[in-house]
Amino acid sequence: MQDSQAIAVGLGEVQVAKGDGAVLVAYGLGSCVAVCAYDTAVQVAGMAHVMLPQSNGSGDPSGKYADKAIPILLDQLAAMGARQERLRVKIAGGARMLVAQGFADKLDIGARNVKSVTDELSRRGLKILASDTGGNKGRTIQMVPKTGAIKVRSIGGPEREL
Amino acid sequence: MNAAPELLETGELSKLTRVVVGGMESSAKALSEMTGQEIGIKPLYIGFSPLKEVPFLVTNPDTPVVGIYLIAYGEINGHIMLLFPIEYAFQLVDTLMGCWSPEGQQRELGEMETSALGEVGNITGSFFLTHLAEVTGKSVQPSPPAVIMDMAGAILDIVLTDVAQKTDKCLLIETAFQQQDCRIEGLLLAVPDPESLQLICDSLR
Repeated sequence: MQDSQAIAVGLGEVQVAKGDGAVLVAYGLGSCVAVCAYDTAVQVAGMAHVMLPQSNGSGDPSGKYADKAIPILLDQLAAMGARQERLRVKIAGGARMLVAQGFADKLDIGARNVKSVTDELSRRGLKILASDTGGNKGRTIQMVPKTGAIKVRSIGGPEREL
Repeated sequence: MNAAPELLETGELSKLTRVVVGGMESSAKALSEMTGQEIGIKPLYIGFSPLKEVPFLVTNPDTPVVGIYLIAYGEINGHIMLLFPIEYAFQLVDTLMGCWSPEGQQRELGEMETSALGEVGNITGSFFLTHLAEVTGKSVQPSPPAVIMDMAGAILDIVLTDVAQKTDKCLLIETAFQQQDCRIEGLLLAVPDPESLQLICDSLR
């Protein structure tokens, strides 16, 4: 269900929106993690769709790595008038999609993504207020810029407020 | 089909396309024998895509699907993913179990269904990769299959996060299986690792 009023936050992308702007949505996250941050005072919301835990010194500036995506997200939020000390941060995703026998543990990139995102946020003094991570179900995450409300949906389960 | 002139010469791409179509025909023939029904193929796309576009190219990333995933390994490495809309996956199971009816029977992805769909993955992957190995002279075989029912994007993360560690673009080979009366449709995605793609192209010269 793709909302025509929605801004899709694709793999490795960072998007921000303000007030009555379009809803931010990361569709069908598996091992990826959506990092959502919101400043109530100015009604500015941002979402990063992290694919991998660490850039390991790669010159690639894209938001696909947790350690690159979070500074990009914070910069873009700041440019929209958000203040870091007011940010409310929530995360969702990081599922383990491959649970079949014979697939090695190293493929649990979801857990590594969650850990890396948590570490990167805490390094910047940012606390995670709520999270919906792990498990082995995909998630669609929707964030309303006006209120900062976040909804998480999986197949066969009810939509839940984060 | 779209070409990717910046990364492969036109001649290379058309050779590669022939190999892929050959592999798919071989898989479709095996699937036809397995199901007792005529299954054909319809090549949809072969070309380079930015990784972030892949979930939208294949389907809506939010759509529930059944994915059958295999790792291709050997001298050639990569990923094979079969994606079926959920209702088609269950119709395929019903067909394989010999209990197909227009209303459908199976609605749960239990052990039996997982095993039947895994076998579809085994057959498809083995025949496709055997053809690739014969044409290139390079070894490649499939891992056991993993069968997953979830959002297409979440399932594709398995392939895309692995590829993303090496590159931001991948060669995407997308082919549809089609039964004559269009009852069962599925997509096969083959994504070779960048080094393996080079090896495949070199061996086709």
